[in-house]
Amino acid sequence: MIPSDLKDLKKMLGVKLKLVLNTGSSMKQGKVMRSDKKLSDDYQKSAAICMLHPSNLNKLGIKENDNVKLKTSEGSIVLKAVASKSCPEDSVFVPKGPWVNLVIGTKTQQTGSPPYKGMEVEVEATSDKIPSIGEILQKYRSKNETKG
Amino acid sequence: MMISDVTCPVCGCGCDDIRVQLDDSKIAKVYGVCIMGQQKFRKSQSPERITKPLKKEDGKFVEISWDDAINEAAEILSKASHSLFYGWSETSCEAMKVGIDLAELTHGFIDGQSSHCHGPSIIGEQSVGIPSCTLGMVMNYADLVIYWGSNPIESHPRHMSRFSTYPRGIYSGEGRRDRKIVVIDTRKTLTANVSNLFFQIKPNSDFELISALRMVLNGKEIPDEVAGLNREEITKLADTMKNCGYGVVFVGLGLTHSKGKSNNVENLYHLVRRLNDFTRFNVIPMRGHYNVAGLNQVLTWRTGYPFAVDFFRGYPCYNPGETSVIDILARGEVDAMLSISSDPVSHFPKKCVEHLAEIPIISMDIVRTPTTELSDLVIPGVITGIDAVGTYYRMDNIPLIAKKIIEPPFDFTHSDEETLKKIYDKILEKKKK
Amino acid sequence: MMELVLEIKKIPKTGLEAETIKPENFVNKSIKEIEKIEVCSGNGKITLGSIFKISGKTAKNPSEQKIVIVGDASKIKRIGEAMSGGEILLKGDVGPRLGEFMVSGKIIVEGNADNWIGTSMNGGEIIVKGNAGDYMGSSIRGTNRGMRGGKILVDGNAGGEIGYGMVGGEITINGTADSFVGSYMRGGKIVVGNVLMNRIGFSMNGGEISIIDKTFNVPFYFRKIGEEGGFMQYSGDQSFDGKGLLKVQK
Repeated sequence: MIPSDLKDLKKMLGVKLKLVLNTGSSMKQGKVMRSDKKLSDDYQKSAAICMLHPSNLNKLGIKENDNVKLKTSEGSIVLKAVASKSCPEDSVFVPKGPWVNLVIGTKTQQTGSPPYKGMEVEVEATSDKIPSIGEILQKYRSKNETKG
Repeated sequence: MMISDVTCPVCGCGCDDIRVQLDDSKIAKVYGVCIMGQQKFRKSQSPERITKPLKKEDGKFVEISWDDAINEAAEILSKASHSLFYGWSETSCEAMKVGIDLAELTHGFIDGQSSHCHGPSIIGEQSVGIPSCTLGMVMNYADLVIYWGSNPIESHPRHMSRFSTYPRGIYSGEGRRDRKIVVIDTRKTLTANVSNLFFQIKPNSDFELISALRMVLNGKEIPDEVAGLNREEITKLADTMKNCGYGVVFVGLGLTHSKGKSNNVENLYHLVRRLNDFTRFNVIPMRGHYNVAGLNQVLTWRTGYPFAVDFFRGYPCYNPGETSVIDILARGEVDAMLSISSDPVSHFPKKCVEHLAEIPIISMDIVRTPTTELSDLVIPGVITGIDAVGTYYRMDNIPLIAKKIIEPPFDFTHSDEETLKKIYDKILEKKKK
Repeated sequence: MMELVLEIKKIPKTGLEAETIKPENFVNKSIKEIEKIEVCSGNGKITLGSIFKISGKTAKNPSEQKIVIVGDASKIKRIGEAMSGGEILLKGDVGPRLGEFMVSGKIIVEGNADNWIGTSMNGGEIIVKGNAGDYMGSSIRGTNRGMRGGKILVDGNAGGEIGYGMVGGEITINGTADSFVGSYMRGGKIVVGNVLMNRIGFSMNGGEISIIDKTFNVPFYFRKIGEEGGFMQYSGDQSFDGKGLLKVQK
């Protein structure tokens, strides 16, 4: 089936972008972090997002609020794409939190500080779901059956 | 009743000009605080607040008595062969002192959020030295403020209005007009939008930009382009720094987290030292939590080391990379953890959390978080600065007293310091048996 | 050489620090006495006998004593610390802080080594057949003066921060280093196949770094000063007039 839309064609071709991953504070994520809502949807809404330059959304054939999959040497995570002109074309910005930490490594170069900024990441469009905080915790728990 | 000069127990600004209106011994309204501060004051009164100790049994939390909780905590920590006492950045210095005693008693590790945030900055300080000043001096003297890898509008919302940009000080009577704000970052942040000069650099290239600036200051030729900036832009930045009256660089996680880490910060400290041959120039790391600097202070008086301290041998040892929290968890060298005022399950890389899921965790916190959910024992925390008094160190290492304005919603303990002392005494009792 | 074999039986999960494992601690002792030697682990000390199956012979002098460790020693730290004489052969991998403050003797690792090899080394030789980690032949935290003498050779690849604060001695890496080779170097010699991220010689003011890979991109804070013997020569760190020498193969 030939897609009529160029966007759908790009999605179908599975375009992958190689970018630099930047994680850090955002106002919305900071607000939830300080609140009593870390186990609620609010945390996911503020931290399970990936800010990309609008041209990169174009290249991937997606629009805002579609899902993207980020992959590093540590693993992959599905996040919601958000367009941001402030984000340079060669990188993505993801607020810090349990979502992006699923793809962050532990090499601290003997400084104690892991590579929260600067890792190489591959970004592609996906129809996979974003895991909830409950699902993430369950996955950690199930790796060790003896702990409840 | 209105209480003034209340301290806000959230970020490294350590604001001490907050006003709180109490109605019937409860917080009704908070004035002058930012959006993050609002959340914390609200959290202290939240129906979600943890008011009873909880123990995990068959995958579910059950309420237990205070005495049983203390006993359980002491049992877990005295059985461990290499325990970890982690967090500390949102509790008092008084509690930290007991934490160090606990680590020494159990031959465990003690570390805090600084380890994975500004650990590299502290390493840089030890290597090169840091020409610095207080936030009060910034407010009164600085005519050039540089935010390097830092976005205060989103991380420290009142930083610019309280200290660096908008207030009218002794030599900055015109406020904003008397100051030049420069932002150096990889993306055009909200802070960049309100700056006078914005330098957008390539990711992972701060080190090269700093070396280039040092070369320009030494009259050496640099390439046409470094770090995504051209020679004119770099020369302009060097001249701006050289010709100011009183400059300050606020260093953010952009330097400590990206490639190079402590080398980025060391290089910057070399640059600032050199700038002091031309004018007065300072550096202040943008500490994220209101008392994260406190752990560095207290640990240094007590052990000689600022973070990542290991009492394995019965005496304090320090070697970031070997004794720092991210590394010890990644290597699986810890077999029990006490997490206080922290949420490592949310903030640590996957491999560290996978190890946390394998070991017993005691969590001292205010509300339920991803960390409490993976814990075996949850002990109600007391909020220093709201329901307990305590000392804290602001980002510029000025000690302040965090006020108590209401009572905690329980009476079995009055402070984190008190809770930890009880656990300490119980472990001692068990060891004597 | 008299050979004493330590075969790993069981290592505690949280690891152990075994700076007592070096030839001078084993000479003139019986196997039963060596089994009683303690190492630090967890909440207390445990004996070598509980970790290793020990067999073989002991010598009268450290320079005649060889220790062979069989098994995966990647959770054992501080082997060969301040060693003066003799030899240690590790048949597998080894943990961090190997041969720190070494004075003389030889350590050979047939597997991979970890971080902090040969910190503040004064003499002797460390040979790693596999890969190694960060901060090789460097100073301890808090000082910028490190390795003074001795030789480190890594056949495979190494991590970052090689020869930090080097004052003397030699480091050779046949494979690659990650980044930051020769920071604060004042003397000595480092030879490396290639450096993956071209940040080298930070605050360098003496000594020599040689890079074999011709495609290495010389950082701009090194100024070309000439060529000799098939190598281009550069001086740096120019951020502050450093007089270190960088050689890159033509």
